[in-house]
Amino acid sequence: MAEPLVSLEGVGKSYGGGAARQRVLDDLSLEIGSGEMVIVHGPSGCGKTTLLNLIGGLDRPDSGRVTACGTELTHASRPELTAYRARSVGFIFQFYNLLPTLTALENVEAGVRVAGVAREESRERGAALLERVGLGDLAGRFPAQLSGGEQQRVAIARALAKQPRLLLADEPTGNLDEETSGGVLELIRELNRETAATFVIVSHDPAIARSGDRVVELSHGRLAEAPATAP
Amino acid sequence: MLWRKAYRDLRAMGLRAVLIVVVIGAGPGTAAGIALAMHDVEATRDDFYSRYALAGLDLRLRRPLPAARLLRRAREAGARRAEARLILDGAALHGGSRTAAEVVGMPVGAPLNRLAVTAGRGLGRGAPRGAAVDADYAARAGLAPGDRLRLRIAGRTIPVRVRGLARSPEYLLATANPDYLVPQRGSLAVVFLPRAGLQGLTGLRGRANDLAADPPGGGDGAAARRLAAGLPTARVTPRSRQYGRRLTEADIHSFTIFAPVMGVVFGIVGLLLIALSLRRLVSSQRRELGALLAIGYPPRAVVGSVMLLAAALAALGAALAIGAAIGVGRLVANEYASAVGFPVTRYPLAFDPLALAAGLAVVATLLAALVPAYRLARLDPIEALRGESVGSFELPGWLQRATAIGPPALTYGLRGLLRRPLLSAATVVSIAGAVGLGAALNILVSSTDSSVDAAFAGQGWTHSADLARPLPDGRATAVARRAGAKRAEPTVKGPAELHAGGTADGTGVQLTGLPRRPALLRLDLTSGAGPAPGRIVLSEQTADGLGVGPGDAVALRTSRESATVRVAGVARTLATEQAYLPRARTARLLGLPGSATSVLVAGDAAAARRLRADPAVARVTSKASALTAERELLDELTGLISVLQAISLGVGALFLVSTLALSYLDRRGEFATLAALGYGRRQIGAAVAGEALTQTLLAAALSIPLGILIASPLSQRIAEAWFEIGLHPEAPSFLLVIVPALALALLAAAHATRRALRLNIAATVRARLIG
Repeated sequence: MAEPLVSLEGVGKSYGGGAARQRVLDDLSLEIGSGEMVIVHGPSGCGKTTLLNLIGGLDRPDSGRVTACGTELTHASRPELTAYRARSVGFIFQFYNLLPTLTALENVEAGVRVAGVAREESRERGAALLERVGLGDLAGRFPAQLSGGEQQRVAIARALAKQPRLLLADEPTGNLDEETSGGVLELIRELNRETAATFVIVSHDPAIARSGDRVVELSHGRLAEAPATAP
Repeated sequence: MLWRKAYRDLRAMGLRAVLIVVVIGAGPGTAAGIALAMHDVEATRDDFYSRYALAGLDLRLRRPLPAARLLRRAREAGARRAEARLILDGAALHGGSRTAAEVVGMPVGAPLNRLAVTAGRGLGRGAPRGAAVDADYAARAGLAPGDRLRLRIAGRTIPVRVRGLARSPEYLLATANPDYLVPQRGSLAVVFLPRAGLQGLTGLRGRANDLAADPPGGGDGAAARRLAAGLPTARVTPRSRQYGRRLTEADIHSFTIFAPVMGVVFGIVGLLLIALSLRRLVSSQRRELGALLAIGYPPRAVVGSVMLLAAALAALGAALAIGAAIGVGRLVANEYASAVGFPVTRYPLAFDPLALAAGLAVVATLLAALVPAYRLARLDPIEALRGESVGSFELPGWLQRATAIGPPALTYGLRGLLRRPLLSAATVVSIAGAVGLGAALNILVSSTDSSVDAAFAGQGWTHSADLARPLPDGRATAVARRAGAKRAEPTVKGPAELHAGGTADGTGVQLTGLPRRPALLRLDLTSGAGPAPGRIVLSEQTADGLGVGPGDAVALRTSRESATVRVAGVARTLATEQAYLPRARTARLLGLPGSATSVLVAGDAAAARRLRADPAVARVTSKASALTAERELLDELTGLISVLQAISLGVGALFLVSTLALSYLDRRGEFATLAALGYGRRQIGAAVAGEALTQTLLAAALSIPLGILIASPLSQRIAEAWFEIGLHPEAPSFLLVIVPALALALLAAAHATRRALRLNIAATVRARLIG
């Protein structure tokens, strides 16, 4: 593998204190190459989301080292982490996390403008991506006027519109029915092929696990990498 | 189980619970605090007058009589308490300045009009030259216990030593020229000496020229009239018309002008915010209450669960309301009582305002929770389980375009206001209420100032010289000419009573005689014509009080005679209770035919100095000093208003901060999302500040008409208590409160931004807090 885009070395992370202290990640090391689609799979509470948060610069490890997109995240300052997220990372959340007072297009634009893209260009990119995810006609709708699947498509468009090097998705189909979930998954797969972005998807859904280039099995905070399953 | 849920909900709410409790307590607490302050001020006044025994009647005689004879007459008239005093007009000389003085020779341990000693000691039997000096004069002259002071009375100079400083209920607001009802603190040196001492020093042993008594039926009753009838009275002053008391009453009346308006404003906005905050709280529990319904809890249990939480918040809010009421009450009462001059402020805890504060907080909270809880409990569990309908946000196209300005964070901030339009409107109205009230108070101060300036600007006199004793007109004019006055206008003044429509209850007035064509004292007529034989001009307040206007007949009574006159006109005056008749008629009614009691002059400072030195003149008041006095009075008023304004702004800030903080708490998931997307301090700050500033700017715009609206009834009430003022709303009146409000909004926004940036993004973003 060429120079990895994401590198975790001996990462440890615990939550709580005293008797309630819980070790979520334990001496975890992992490298993810550019353009890969990696699925982090495992049972609830195994540390999948924590791993994603560390890669996304939303959290810091207790020990070890995390580097992503050329940024050393372990000791980065808050503004550095903010800039890293703004420029390099796109997030897709389980509950979509669209801003309810912005329309679909404005939500997508909100994800682009923060990366320093000019208003006109961000609007064009947003419109094109909404078209791409099949919501071109619904660009002016507010989140409450969209179904769960449509909201997640807007969230995907928002994550990709800034053209991030790294796209992180936390249970992107966890809140969708089977049919919608399949559509969203297919869309993610297509977008991974179309873009140069690296996708790291956390899921306990076996269907998603089958979609990745590589599946990383987590168990009790430790790595148990599984072979990739062809899509 | 529900108890436990309510308790844990309360704990889990943390800061949100604190903010809701603050919202619950602040409005009712402030409203009740102002009611409490009114109560405290009245209690302070009553306590002062009762403790120091303000006499029911004061008779000033034209010449000294044996004191024993006066006391005998008082006893015969059935007076419970009486004291004969020797009161002499003169001058106090201290540090090269000469001040008009009233030297009061009173019994040591007097039963009436007792002295409240504020520093040093009171009068002593063994110290005939040991004086107690009015605290206001002492402050103005820089006198302290132990200092020496010279008194110029009865043609001789008498050195005395200041034993102490004191306040007397009779001279609470002593002023050199009470005709204008403008108290000029310290302008009259009131010096108290032991009666025997003063009698000895002036060669008037055993004699007195003043009788203070408590006749049965009060100072206005038949016994009081009988007591006065047989004596050579120069002035009869029942307690109800006593200058200091009248002024204090007017002062307290002016306070009661502001208090109810403020109470109502704070009460309304407080209740509004309680209703909306509780509605928001219940909505946020929609999903878990839906879960309770889904697992089989009956609707009443769901309502009960909400009501338990609301009751806990209401109890805490009520406790805060009581605390706030006591705090605000004490702050305002102390400021006000000090401004009036009461030596001690009393704070008897009144049950009613506190019960009102607590009751209002509890009832409003429970009602505010009950309505949404009841509606929620009637929902289908599935519908309730869908959670708060916060996501159901839609905007008409034009509003969508209008708010899509600037970067997305700003659009987000602005649209935050439209998300809960009712709450935003309530917040705007609340802030506008507080800012408008502050602006209204500013408008009143500046308008009063302008009105006073205008009233004085129309007068032709520069000084008013009160004569030591009535003099024939010609001699009075000669006194002024001798001093170098360019023009002189002798006037005659005295107390009178007016009755309208044959009613027994009259109103006391200062009756002033005007020459046929007054050159110096110019009446500002608002209706009718000037005084003419048999035709009287009344001040606006007097005419309003009597319910008469031009052409109506009124009965006029002085201590000498009665007459029926018609109202010729109504004049705008700075002083209330004024009446004007032609001079010759006035002099006859007052028993002073052909005489003057004062001279209005137009002259320079040198003429005024010479007038002051003339033994025929008791005191000289300059127009400039009367204006200064008016300004000092306004300053006192402004001091109180500043406190009220601080409370307005404080409560407004509280509303703003708590609403913004609650709004932030509701949306922390969204802020976390923004942070996860890479939005930093600047952008999130812009979103929060945009929202806060928009709210405050809308409130500021609304506060302009609201301020004028609030100022209008207040100015009418001021007119009842003091004098008519024209409202002049000017930009600084608004800017003085709007600018601090905007600054507070920015501070509140900065605080919310800081909290947003300290969020645990990873944890918050996963919580399903948003639609």
